[in-house]
Amino acid sequence: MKRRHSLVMTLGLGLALVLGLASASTVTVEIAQYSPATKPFFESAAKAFMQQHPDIKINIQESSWDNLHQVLVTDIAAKKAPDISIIGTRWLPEYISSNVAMPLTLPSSFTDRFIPAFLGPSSIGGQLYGLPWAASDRALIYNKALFQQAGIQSPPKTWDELQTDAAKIAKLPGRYGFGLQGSQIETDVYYYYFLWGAGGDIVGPNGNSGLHSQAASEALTYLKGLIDAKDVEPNVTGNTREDLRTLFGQGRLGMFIYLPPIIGWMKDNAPNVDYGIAALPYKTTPVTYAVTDTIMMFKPSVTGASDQQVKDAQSFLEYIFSTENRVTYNKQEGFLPVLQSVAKDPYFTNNEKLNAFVELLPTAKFAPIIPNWEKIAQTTTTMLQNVYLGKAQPQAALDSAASDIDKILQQQ
Amino acid sequence: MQTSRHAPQSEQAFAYLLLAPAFLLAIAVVGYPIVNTVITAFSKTNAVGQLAGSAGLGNFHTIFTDPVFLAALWRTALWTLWVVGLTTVISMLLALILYEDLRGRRVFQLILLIPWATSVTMTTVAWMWTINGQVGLISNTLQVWGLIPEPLGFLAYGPSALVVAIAIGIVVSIPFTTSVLVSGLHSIPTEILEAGVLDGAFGWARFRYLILPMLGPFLTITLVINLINVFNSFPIIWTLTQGGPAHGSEVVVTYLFKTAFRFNEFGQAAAMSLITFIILLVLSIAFSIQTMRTRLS
Repeated sequence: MKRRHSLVMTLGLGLALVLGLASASTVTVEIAQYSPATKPFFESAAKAFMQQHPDIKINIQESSWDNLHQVLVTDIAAKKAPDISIIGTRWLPEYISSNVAMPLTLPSSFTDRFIPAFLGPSSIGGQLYGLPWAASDRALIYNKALFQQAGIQSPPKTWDELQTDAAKIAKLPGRYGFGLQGSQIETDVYYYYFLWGAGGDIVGPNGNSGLHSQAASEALTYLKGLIDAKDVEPNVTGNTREDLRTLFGQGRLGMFIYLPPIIGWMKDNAPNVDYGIAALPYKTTPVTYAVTDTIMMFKPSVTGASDQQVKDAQSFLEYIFSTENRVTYNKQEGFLPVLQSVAKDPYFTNNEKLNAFVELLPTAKFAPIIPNWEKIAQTTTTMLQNVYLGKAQPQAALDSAASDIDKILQQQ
Repeated sequence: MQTSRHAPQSEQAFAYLLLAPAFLLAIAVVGYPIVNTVITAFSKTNAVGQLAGSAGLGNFHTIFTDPVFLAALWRTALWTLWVVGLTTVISMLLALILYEDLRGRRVFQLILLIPWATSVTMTTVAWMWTINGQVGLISNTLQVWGLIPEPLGFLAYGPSALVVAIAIGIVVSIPFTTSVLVSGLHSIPTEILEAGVLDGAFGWARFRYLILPMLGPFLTITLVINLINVFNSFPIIWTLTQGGPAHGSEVVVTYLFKTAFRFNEFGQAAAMSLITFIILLVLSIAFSIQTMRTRLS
């Protein structure tokens, strides 16, 4: 008798739990790890949001950047996509063409708060599909002590000055002049800095590969010249962007190109290295490369969300873009402000090093938002590595890569 | 005594009934991915991996005309042969040493097992720091001693990166292989070896004509398992170079991963998996037949 009583109680409790869960709407948010502090930021924001909205449950899931693309593909195929996700903006075209990206309809009072240039990359065909989550651009990072020892007054502005200065620093024992990246992610981007600086572009004016251009040839010949003259570190094709950062932090590298989080990294890892931040050296066209990562929503057809869940997801999306949340986040990760109100915060206006990055934004180029971007990046990277290794001549390698990229561009 | 071969029919049927759930589960777990891979390999897919109509043999045509894939296939063969071959030779030597009644044999056996308990990725990262061109132990030491003018970039060149990967592959495969071979040696009846000694079988002759034939099944097990593991091994090369520079250390699995999850060509990636699956299946069956034949003879 007693036993049956407890059975009824258990069933009742179970039913109540199920009903309770069903009435609270769950919003799943997939985030990418920028630093160990990323997840705690989202979790505390979610907690504060859930206190205001007790009927909504926010579920935060984290992936590394290396895995995120694969995780999302698998989730979409299984129709278990997150309601909200941080993505690499370059993946957006594939989600739009596969009809899984949700167009965002947000009040202009909300979208007007953004720095307009940063909304560009996630607007396609006049429709907004995502919001800029992390924004950054690139600058030349240089070691002031090594510059002084080599007798260099100010950071190089042109390609010629870069080569002269790099050669001077390379003469110091055990020191390298300029850091050239030749391995893994963004090896191609390191070359685009120079392609743009010579007036070229990734996709040419006629929609073909920009590697056909005179600028492409000049940029590659210039970089190969730096390698041959030993103005860059040895074994270029073994060095990732982070390897260069390590060398710079050890005080063994005169200069290299990096993004704003270098400020926090140097403070934590190399507080004794005195460094400066300057514009990228160029040939004809001053330029920096700006990147935004996007936070977007997936369509209910792949998330299984109800109308209510979609609304709830959208209100969480708006919530995390409050000035307060964004100031906390930007300070912690060291990215550039995407909201005008955040840019006016004293923390940013008084931060000389971060401002050096902000000042470069008027010359910013974004990567083109085109499908098959990763294939183009891989083709370009392989071509560069072959040239850096001395396995191919710059012009021949460029011609062959350009025609491969033309084919990839035509696949769309 | 009644053996199972002569069990009454009803009892046999009952046995199959009891086995059925496990058998069905095994078929589902093993079969579903295979069927799915086969279907995808013959289909067009969109950017998020959904099927979009039949591709016929299109995916196979694409991968077999892709010089990167063909080079990766050849490199996979080299990588597998070197790792499995050298692992077997070194492990055999280690097993013979550990079989002798040495002092501290147990300690050696324990030491041998430690790398097995460490994750392959961690082992690779540890080696990566050792061989790092700029801050690595080897390069730095040689430079300090003045033996080399500038740092050695082992991972900056395809061939040297592959040699490093092979060396790490051997290190992580030795514990398993040696353990199996040591067990194999212990299973050889000591009377046979003692009788051999009386007949004058020492050293090489003892190894070649007594030990090796009796170790046959154990060797086959290690060869088949190592072959499959090494052929499919992803973490070592991915951690070291991601198949670079310029695809110089690319093997089939790293290229397959890129094809699927970077380039979104799921059909082509499935075709690559199917090819590797068939290669491994044929090799495994060939090995098994070989072992059965040896045993029968």
